Amino acid sequence: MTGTTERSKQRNWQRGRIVQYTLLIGLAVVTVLIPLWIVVVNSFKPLGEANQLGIGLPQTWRIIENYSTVINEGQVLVGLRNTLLIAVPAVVTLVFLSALSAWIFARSRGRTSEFTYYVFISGILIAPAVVTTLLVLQALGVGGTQFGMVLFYVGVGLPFAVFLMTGFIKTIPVQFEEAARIDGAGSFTVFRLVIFPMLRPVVATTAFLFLLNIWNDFLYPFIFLPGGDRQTLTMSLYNFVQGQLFTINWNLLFADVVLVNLPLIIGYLFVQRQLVTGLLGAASK
Amino acid sequence: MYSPRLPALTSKDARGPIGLRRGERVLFLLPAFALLVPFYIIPNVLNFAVSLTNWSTFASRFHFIGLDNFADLAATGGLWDVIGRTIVFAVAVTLIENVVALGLAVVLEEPSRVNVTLRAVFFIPVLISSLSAAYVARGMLDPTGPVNQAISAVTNPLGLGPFTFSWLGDTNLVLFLVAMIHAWKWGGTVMLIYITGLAAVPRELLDAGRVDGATSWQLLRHVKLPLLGPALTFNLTLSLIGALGAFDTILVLTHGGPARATEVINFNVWRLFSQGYLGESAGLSMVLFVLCVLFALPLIISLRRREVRL
Repeated sequence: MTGTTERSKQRNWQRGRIVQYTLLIGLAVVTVLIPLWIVVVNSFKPLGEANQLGIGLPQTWRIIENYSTVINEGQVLVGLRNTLLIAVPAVVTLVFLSALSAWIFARSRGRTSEFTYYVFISGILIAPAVVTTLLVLQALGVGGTQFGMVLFYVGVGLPFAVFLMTGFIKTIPVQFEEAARIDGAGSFTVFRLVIFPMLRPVVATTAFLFLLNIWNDFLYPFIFLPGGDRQTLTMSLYNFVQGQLFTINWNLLFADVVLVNLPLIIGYLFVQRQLVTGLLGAASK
Repeated sequence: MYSPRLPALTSKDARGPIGLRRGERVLFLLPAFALLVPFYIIPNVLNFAVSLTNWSTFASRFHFIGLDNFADLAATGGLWDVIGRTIVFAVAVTLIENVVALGLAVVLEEPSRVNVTLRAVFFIPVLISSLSAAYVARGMLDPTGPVNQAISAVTNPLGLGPFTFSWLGDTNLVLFLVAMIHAWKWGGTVMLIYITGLAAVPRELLDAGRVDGATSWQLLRHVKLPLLGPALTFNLTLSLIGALGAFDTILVLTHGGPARATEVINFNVWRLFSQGYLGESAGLSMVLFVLCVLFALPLIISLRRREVRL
């Protein structure tokens, strides 16, 4: 008797699995893969065909024409240069400063340090105030420059970065540091040689999340930077679409979307594994 | 990750924990504060002051006008409608994002090959900029676009003719559609954090439950979900804050329309700013600031109290 119920249970369970995965794959196809396909396939079509926004393959292929038009008229390379000039220094500084601060916060006890920590991470809750940030940038003499954007992103990114890192550092036993102390290492050496190397997963996660944020940000560069040769990649996309008066040329728009977003999608494939480990501090602290 | 309670030797050390001197602690925090102060603290304090002035790009001088900006916003800018819309939008986004993402996290928790692939697929929208996501969504929802083409494939054979509903032109529907698009764009992060939280549940607890004969539903309901507290706090707070500050999606999809149906706070902050009303724009930023604090703090405090500690 038990044998048959076991077997029917097993069969039910398998049937449940099949239904579950059919639904999941269906959801993934409908909500993500089809839109993605439509973007890519229409970026290969001539204007008239693309504006029907169909799902089929192009009747006439216009890959090189479309993409070279976008690169030239859409100023993609200017945008790419500026985005890199802003994102790379900002992410590097952010990771280093937040790791250093988080180490201090994770290893300090007492009212003052706790209060300071909460002042610090309260910034997570608060969106930057655009009007007055603009004033600060101008007062510092970096208004409308890429360097100003770097300082801005580091300043507003620190609260979240410190939060992620502090949670992670608290899971590292202090004994490692004590061992280094006994060997006579100074504080900065302990940080550089003991702590920082152990932060690898959270550093990778933080770096990637902020690269993503800064790369994809539109509001702040849109407000703080002039257009022209200082525009970022997202600004170049927006300006390109705005530049096509009254109509949208879907083939070119989609080609621009592909160009602007491809680098990070490729980059994600490399950090995918580490991302989950690095988020542990956030999900369990 | 669980770390054992440490022996007392670290806590009462004369140099403080792990030998960091007080001076060193200040020194190491200094560079971070040198950037936090000008870009977080000063702008927000100054913003409060600016919101009480009539500063604009077309007046040669500006002076203190008390709460007139807020009165103006209420009288002509539809302040209460804008606040209400922002809250409805943010709550809708938070609910959609967290319900769907938690569901996905539960079924995709095990790192099998299919699951990892599916996770990556659901994470793709996070990787593209919200500006791009909005353009893509606009294409999909175009009156003759793919969504309506799919519906027409059903309605045409039924003799109902092609379906050409203007999704983004419907004032009742549009705010929720934009909320769904926003949730679609950001849900992947939320899912990933729930997966991380589920993965952090100690195996021993699950094994103990299984030995006691718990079904997988019971394990989920009584072991895993209660232990998901920190992830839940984190996700609810972050999706709410993110949604309260929505801008790019709305700029591209609807530009605040139709008939102001999607004018949320941050969109109007930008609009007033670009029109030169700096005092009013700062005032509206203040409103956003207050909303973020009013919503997030009670949320964090109440959720933290309920969290099950490991």
